Amino acid sequence: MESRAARVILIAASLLITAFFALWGVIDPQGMAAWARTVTTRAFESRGWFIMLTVTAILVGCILLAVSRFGRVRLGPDDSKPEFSTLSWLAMLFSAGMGVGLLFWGVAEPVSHHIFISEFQPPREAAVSALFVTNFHWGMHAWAIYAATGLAVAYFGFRRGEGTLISGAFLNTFPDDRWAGVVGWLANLVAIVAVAIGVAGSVAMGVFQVERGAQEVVGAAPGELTMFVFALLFVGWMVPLMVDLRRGMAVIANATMLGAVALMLFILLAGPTHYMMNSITESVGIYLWNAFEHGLRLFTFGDWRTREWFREWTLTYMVWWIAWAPFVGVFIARISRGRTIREFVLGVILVPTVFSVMWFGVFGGAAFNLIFDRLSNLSFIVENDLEAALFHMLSVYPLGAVTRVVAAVIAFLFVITSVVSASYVLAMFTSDGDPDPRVRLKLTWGALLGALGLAMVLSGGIEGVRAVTALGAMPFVFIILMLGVCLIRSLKREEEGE
Amino acid sequence: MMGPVAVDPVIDTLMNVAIVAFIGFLIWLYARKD
Repeated sequence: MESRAARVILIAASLLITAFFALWGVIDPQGMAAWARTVTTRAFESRGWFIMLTVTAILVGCILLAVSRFGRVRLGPDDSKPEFSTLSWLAMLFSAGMGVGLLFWGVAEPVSHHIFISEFQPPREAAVSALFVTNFHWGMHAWAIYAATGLAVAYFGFRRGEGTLISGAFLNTFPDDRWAGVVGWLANLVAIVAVAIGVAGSVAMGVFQVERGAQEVVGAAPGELTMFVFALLFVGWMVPLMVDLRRGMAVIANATMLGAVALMLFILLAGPTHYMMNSITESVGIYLWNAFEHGLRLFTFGDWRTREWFREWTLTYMVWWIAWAPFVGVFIARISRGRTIREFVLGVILVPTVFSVMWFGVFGGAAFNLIFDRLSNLSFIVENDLEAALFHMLSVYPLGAVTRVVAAVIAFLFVITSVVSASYVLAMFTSDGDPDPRVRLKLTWGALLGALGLAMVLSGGIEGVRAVTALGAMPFVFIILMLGVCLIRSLKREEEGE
Repeated sequence: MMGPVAVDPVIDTLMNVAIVAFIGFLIWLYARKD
């Protein structure tokens, strides 16, 4: 396809597809969420094995690549040096992994699993399993998905000079094949749709979380502030897109990340510290021992409720990470120029995983402490009002009034930084990889992400949001596997001296 | 809760065969000569 025509069609097709979903979702949010749930449920039931196999294969592939002779290959010319010091690189990896999701699910997820697993195990054993499952969802498998995408983008972008588009891998590996152009174009389209829908899902999650925090602070009724919070967020990300605040955004992103870390440390120090340290240490052991086995678990012989739980949590999470992969992949690729493949893979997979285990060890550990010491009816709250979980826990701790405001502000800023970066990446994808895309295009994506986010907010609950996100991401599963093949083929060819 | 999920057996079989074929395609893509 001629490149200009291909680019125009790519912009038109991606804008049309996302606008279609946004419009449908705003007009009939419940209808869209119900449809998405039906489609994803059937797909997960029928092809769940493929998703788990893919995710495990990606993790094993990344590890093998890191320890193999290819681990020494640099993501850039052989003499290139890393742009950032190792410490600030690791800090930036942290921040990439710290989305609003960690805040939303820190308390809610371990407790949700606990409620379900307690039906099969004694409650105190179920708490260990609940923390393990949560860590599994946020651990190495998730980060391997980002690492694989980021690795392909970085290798083909910086070492092969193909730019940061997903299609670069296909065009560079199979330059003489006509199909590579078509598949590359499709890969760009699929990546754009996955990012748009995936980030919109986080917008909805952020709105629910900020609204719940605002409710607690001003004492409003449920639902009363939804539109106000959404409008505030919308303005919050459109303004930085209008005036180029690149440096300012980095400062906000770092401040948000530091705020989240400070909140975690506060809970760790203000609560029963030894209890949470125990919980973190125990989580590490159980995670290391069980993660690989769990990566291929499909609950084949479980009853329908167990299978439903598995679909709605594990499969949905894995697909959610895949939705975010092109976006996070491009970000971590950009900060990793000059690193070796070994450094990249180990840094991207291990560092955020360790952080997640600490995060859930603290928030989950604190939550279980409240539940088992009968200091709070947290299980009941999570069962009936998921968004309230974090704020309820903070209210039990000292300085509850302050920490609840801080948590709401952090959630707010997480959404702003995610949407600003996502709009930038989407604008870059739709302007042929231009690292400085036009403001108009960034604003268009900012507005579309807003409309999609609004559609998901209107669907009324997190289940609908997750189903729509899963649906948007599923096609990228195929692309990510093909990227892996392109990468290994190119590395081998490079070794043979072409 | 959605209850037990009924999957159309024909679509189920076709989709699974298609995925296995895709895995075959990946292996071919990896192994083929330039």
